[in-house]
Amino acid sequence: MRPRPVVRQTGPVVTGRSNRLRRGPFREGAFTSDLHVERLGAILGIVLGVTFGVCFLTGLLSHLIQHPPGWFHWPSRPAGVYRVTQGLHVATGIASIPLLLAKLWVVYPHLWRWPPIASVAHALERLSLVPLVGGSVFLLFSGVASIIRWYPWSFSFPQAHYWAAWAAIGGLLVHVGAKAASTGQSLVRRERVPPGPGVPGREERVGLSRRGFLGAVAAAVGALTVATVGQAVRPLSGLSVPAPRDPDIGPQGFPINRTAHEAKVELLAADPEYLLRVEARVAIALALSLEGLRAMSRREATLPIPCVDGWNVSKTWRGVPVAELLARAGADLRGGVLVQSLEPKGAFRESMLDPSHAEDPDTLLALEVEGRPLALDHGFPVRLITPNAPGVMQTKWVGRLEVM
Amino acid sequence: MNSGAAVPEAGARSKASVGSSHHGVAFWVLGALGWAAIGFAVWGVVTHPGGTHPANFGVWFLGGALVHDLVVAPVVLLVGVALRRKVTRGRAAIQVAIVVSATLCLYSLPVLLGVGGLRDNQTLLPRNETAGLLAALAVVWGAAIVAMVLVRRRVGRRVDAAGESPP
Repeated sequence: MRPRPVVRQTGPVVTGRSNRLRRGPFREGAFTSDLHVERLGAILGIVLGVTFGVCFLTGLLSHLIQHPPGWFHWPSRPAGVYRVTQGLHVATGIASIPLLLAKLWVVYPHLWRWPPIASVAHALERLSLVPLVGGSVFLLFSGVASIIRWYPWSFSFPQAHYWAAWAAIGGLLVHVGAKAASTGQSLVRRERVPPGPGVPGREERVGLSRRGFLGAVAAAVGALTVATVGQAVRPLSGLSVPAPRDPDIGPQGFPINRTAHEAKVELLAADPEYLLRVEARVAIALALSLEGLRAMSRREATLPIPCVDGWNVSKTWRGVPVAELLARAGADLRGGVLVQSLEPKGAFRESMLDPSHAEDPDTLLALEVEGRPLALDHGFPVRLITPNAPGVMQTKWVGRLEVM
Repeated sequence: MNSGAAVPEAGARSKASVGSSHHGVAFWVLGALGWAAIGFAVWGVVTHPGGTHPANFGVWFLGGALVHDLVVAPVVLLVGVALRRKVTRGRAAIQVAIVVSATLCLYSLPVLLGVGGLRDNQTLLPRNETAGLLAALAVVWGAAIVAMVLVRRRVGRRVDAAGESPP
């Protein structure tokens, strides 16, 4: 991140064959703004390092929760952890958009540095910018597109987003290794640009100063955050008009991720012959009608649905505790429980309940929300509600519990 | 970047070489970790073709960077040059307003184009996003105009309104 010389080149320029190729943006002094300086790149780089680090860790956590390897167990308590981590994931990702664009603008002249490659180490360092910049742009674009359900590509969003994150974080590590020393130096050193006739607008500055530039980026981050964070932070929802969701808008007063129509369960869920089955590794297989479920002892719990898209709502649910149902079936919970929806197909038609979630007394097969029977779009006849789990794992239109 | 290698800009050499990277332990350790993560990503994309669609993934992965570097950034730079030529007083306020409103517009673009959302899900993008964006832009530009008027008044007294103040 070598600062572009601010003072116009007056000394002898290198001669020789290679220099004839030095045209267009490669030529000396092609970029005239005195804001293309290392110090700004360093400050923005550090902030981006923090936001990307938060995004990576919260995203990795979400991935592990949804696809747990054998060693990973996500506890059901405290109930609101996932709501915070996933809200942070989306909010810091969105806040990174102006930060990334500003950073890329500041360092843009380096894309056209001369000579393009100076050594093997330098070549590797520049090569790592492909996964870093490509991955960063990819992650922010695909993330924002997916929360408004825009899929202009053919790959699976969660998988592509996950692998791109590894590429970007790898590129970031290489970049930090290469830049740590010079970043530190540029922050310690207070480089002053000498006033002089060679620097346009310097004597009587009318454009943004470095500090003003950072202020503009901060204003953009603030404005974009206010415009979107209301989907997770309720007091701001009135201001967040471009946010994909309003936590108060939807059937029964809250949003839905997947509608009954989209899931093709409208007929199955409304079937009067509906039965909830509890099967597989059980002493007594159960098949309960809606009436049978309603006749069981019910419990009330106030729990959030934190969507992977970053919005969340907390509601009071009432239903049959899963642990009680499983006890009645004489099930052994140690292997976990697979909760299956009536949905004929789809990536989110089933979810795995970890033993800690299956045993939690607040893990319910909810029949009601806020004192009223669930709307079809919210999972009628019953949906799973479990503390500290992503919304996509709180399976709707539950038809079967398979004890593993 | 590694200016230990021949950096020809003699006149600017003292400034240019200060920010060079040192290839110390951090460079090699983080470099090895980073390339391992990049390798893991490539492995993941290639070995899960059913979900990642490697060719399509590659197009979007490289395409995003190329669109930024060859289209977005040059356009922004040209806007900057045009601003510098055309606006001689109170430019800082306009620059801030452009940065903020461009960010909001960029974020809202897919929504305004109507590409997102699901027809049967009324809870997604439930409000009037166009009106919301216009209201936000009105606030931003209103503030910018007020700031510009204030700056132009002060310029007469030769106060560097947007310049760096001493620490």
